[in-house]
Amino acid sequence: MGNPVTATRETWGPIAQGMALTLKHFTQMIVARDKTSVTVQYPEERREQYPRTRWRHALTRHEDGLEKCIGCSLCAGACPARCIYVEAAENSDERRFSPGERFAARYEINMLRCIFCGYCQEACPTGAITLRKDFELADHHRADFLYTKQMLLEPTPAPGAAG
Amino acid sequence: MNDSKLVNVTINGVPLQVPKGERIIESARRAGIDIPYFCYHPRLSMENGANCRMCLVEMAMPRTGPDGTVTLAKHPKPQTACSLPADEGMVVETETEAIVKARRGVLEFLLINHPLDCPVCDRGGECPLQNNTLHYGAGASRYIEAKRHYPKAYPLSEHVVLDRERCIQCARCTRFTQDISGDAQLDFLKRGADTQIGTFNAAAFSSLFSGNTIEICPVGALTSRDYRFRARPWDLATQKSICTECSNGCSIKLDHRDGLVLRVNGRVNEAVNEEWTCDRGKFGLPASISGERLTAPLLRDGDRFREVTWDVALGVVAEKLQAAGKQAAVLAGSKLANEDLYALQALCRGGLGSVRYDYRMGTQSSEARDAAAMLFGPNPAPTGIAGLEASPWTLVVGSDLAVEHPIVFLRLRKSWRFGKSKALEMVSSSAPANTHVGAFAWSSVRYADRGLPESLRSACSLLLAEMPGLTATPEIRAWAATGTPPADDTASRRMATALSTGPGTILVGEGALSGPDWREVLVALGHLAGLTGSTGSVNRLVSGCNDRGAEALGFGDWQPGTAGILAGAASGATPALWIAGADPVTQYHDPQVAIAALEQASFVVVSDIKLTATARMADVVLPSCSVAERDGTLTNVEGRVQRFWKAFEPRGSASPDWLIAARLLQRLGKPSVWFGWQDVLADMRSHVAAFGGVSLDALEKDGAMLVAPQVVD
Amino acid sequence: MAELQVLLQHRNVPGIDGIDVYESHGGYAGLRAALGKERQAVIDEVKASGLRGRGGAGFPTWIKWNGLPKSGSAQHYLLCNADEGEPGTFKDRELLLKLPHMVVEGMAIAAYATRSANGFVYVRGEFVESATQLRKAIDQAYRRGYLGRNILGRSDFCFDLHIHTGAGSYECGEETALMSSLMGERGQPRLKPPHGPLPVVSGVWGSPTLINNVETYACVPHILTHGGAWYAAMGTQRSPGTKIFSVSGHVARPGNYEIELGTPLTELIELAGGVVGGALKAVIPGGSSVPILPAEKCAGVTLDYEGCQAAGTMLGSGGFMVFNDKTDIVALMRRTAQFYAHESCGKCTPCREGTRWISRVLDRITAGAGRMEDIDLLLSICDQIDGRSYCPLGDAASWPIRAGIRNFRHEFEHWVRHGSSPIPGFVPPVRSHGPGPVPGRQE
Repeated sequence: MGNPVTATRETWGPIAQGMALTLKHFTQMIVARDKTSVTVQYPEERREQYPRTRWRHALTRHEDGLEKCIGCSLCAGACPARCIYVEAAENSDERRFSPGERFAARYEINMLRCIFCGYCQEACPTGAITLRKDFELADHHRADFLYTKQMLLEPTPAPGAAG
Repeated sequence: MNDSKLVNVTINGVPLQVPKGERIIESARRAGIDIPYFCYHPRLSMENGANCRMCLVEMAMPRTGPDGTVTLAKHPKPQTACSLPADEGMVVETETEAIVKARRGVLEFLLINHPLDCPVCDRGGECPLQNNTLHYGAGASRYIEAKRHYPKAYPLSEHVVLDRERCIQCARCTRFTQDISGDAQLDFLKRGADTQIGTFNAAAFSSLFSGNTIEICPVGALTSRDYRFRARPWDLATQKSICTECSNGCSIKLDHRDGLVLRVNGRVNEAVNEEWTCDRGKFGLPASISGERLTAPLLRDGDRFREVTWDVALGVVAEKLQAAGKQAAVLAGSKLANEDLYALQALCRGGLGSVRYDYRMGTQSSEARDAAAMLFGPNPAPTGIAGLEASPWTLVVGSDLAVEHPIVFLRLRKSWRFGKSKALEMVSSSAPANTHVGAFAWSSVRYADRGLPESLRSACSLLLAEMPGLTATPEIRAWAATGTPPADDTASRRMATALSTGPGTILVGEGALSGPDWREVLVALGHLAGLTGSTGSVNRLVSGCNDRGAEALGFGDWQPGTAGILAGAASGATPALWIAGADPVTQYHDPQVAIAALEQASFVVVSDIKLTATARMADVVLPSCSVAERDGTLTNVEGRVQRFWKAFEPRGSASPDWLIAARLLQRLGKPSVWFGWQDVLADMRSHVAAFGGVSLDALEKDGAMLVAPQVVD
Repeated sequence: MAELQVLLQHRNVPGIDGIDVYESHGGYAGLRAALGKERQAVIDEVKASGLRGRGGAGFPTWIKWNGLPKSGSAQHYLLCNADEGEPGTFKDRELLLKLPHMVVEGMAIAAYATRSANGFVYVRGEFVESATQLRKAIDQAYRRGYLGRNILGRSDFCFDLHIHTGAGSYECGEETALMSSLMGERGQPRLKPPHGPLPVVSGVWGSPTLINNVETYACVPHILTHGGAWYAAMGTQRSPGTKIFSVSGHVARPGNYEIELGTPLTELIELAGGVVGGALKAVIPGGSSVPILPAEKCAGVTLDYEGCQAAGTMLGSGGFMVFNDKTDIVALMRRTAQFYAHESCGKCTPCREGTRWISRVLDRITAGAGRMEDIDLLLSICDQIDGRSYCPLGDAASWPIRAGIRNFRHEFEHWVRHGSSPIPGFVPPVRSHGPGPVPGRQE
């Protein structure tokens, strides 16, 4: 660092290089408005996500509206963050939530703990829990990050609108 | 079956010395060689076993040819290791290509009709069929035909639910009911691929031990009505514990989740329950400690209760107790731990100077108990549970053993099953025609109401007739000759022949010495024990969970006893009464007396886990801990002190009774030095001779026996 | 070649089922001869005859007799296996029907030789007439003093004979399952060596038990009357004596034929009047559980234990079934498989699950929905049952199917390819028997 010339070159050189790149993109965006632009005007504009993006969970339904989740707790067993809580109960013909004998009476995910690894989706024997692309998960209170079954469950398909 | 002689066998090239006749599957297990199985269970008979064919191994035996040369002759077919008795020179291979193929084949067969509904099955995650399939099975099935279908969830009884699709016909449950519990309620119906488990005429599976079949089922065919779908194995935490539902003190495992005990499984303790549990414990214990629990101290406010802090509650209690001083009294429940009882005792005697404490709710008097101790020695259960196996005969008097002492009953039955013991029974004629012991008893003698002394006298009389050379004083002979002439029926005569074979064991239920005729019963028992040489093996079986511990601590040694305490509460002679873990309103032999006493009592504090009928009548209610929420020790019927471990935190601010007592002692200005339950135990060990031998090491294992008091002349 | 009738010599004599006619034809001479000898000498005589068990396994009879304890006070039981359930076999039925005294006499001799005081004849439940005939014979034998206390004046020889009828299970023909059934338990097999004791050490009610087939007992009076050497002179050296074959199928005169062991197979077919309805296609020589023998392998096969084994099949119980070239082997195998699926007791996994599976696959093939890989699948299932089941029923269920595929694979392939029988015009019957629909089935 003794040589002032070398020091000046090593300090200002990279800065100038970086600024040049910024300037290039800036002009491209302002002048050319081409597809290579880096910044998107979120939230009005949204970048398309990769097909295997994993964000917010959803509990899906069969076409007839029955829940796919059978309350088997395999997702909770696979979860490395231990953030899923499942309590099962028995279906009856009068109160039927899912095909077969068992359904999830409680299904909760602590989103603060979730690391979005997707193991739950991998473990699910019925394809009930899926990680989708909804990534806007910020909230104001800690308690609001405890997603309940009602929050996670897909809405019931409208009659006749299946498919 | 097993000779003590050792033989040389070779398993997978490893030379072993094993007892002749030992099943190869056991030899291999000890050598660390894993042989998969489903139907094998070391405590069940081989007679209907060896049917799953999972444990096939290749076997060869040395054969001496005509010219004297010894060659190894391989058995043409693979053999089941579970039923193969070890013999000299036997060579076993468990991992050959043929065996690997055979196992894969057996698993494929087992799975072709199995529904594979593992995600909803209660067994999923702890299922031998899953585990063996993972280790030894093929990845895919070649079966494309229709599977066998039955209606799901067939209720066998109020506790047990059967799923016939999952059943692999291993016969463990049927063998359990035939060999262990003896009620033989389950068996196979139909044959071939239609073979299924069922009861005769679809009757309810009403065994007292039905829960064990759920535990030993290697698939999820038998499931518990209570536990059904409540949790998966990985949701559960398990803690070692002791069952508090009766005095037998089974070692159990508590499977719990979120502060709830979801199921109880047996834990191996060869000295007590081996590995079994009874339905009362298995299904009753979770029920008795779950439900509406007390979470905070309550103070009476008119005809309602108000939640208060411990400070307030203990302040009121301490003030009242202090004011009552020597007149204060304590009634303890049978489920309290040894530490609770010791702390309560310390509170009474050290803190208040009172000796008004007791635990008994029945009609048996201290006098009866002391007289029995005089006659038969200070140890109320000298034979113990495992000791029954060595007894040539065991006479059960005044107890429906299977109901009151289920584990003692199982041990008695086991002893009979292996031909070691004759079971004898004296039972009231008002009992059901088929008693549990009567089903296998050598002799079952019936007596009319209050006829037990006469029946015992009759047995003595027949015994004297059977053995003229018997040493007996003229007084005994005269006594035996009085009264009604001996009943000359088959049952009585058979009993006399068994009694004449030498010393045996007598089990005396609490009921036998609780009636007004206890003196006559005791005299007759004394004579019978004397004549048969069994005076040292008369066992008085207490019923309450920790009654034996309370007795050893001298908790019921003082006058005026429970009756006196309740009378004192009614008359005002007992101005302050603490009822700890007891519910006299439902448990006292004369509930009306208890209710009247509590109504008139000036101050009653109740500590319990739930708001019991007694607690509703109290002035202060303190929340205490169940066996799952704390550490401590309990003493079972044979005097075995056993440890239980805290499984989860107590609800709210609930506290164990010993800690409540310790905090009260502090408020009374006589602080203890107990910081944990171990400190109470240590204190107890150094101050109570009976607990002198209870070491923490022993408590970690099968428990420690109480030291029998020395008889000082 | 003609029949050599020893057992069946007088079967058509009117009244031979009665004791008078039976006695006038030399009946109970064997028992008298036996009582004139030491007990051991009787066993030695049976040894000299070389008699082998006629139930199917061909175990030397005298070894069983000799295995019972010869001293001590333990009760011995003598059992006669008359649970003749093997498809194609009907010799015991005729023996009991026409010559019940011969069986009674044989059992009395065995009882004397083995010091047994109690005997049971376990008669197949469906043999109502045979059981009636036997009961009549036993009553007569009691009255004549051939059974009961102090038989023929011998104060040291008492023998009571009881009849126990089965409830319709093939499995109860297996000796340990028969014993379970006799004791009132589920008709399932019990542990045998090397896992448990032999019946002669601990059989019914834990007592030494001797169990033999009806035909074996029926041979005994003749051996005692004429001497072991006389009997051994018949048949071959290793398979001496005569054997009754129940000839059925496509022959002119089906029925029971008693021939010397070692007789060529083709001669027996001729004895029964030859094949009818077409040329010979295959023979099952020993009951449905032994491997099928195609016509081209029949030449030169002799009917004795060794000869059959050399040809790749077994002598079995003598259920000799003849099939002409109009027989659909796949349909035959399907019917056989249904039988074993129906009769599996359900105790052990391979037999319980495997027999049903075989039956279902063959159902599918004969319904025209077979796949080429099903043929190898069947062979594989057979391998998975054979030798791994608790009792020989599993083996018996797999051998015929395997032999059927090995010898007639082209017929299976024809069914798979064309969905119809290689026999023109043959339509397999709709399943009328065998494992029925499961109760509560949701399909």
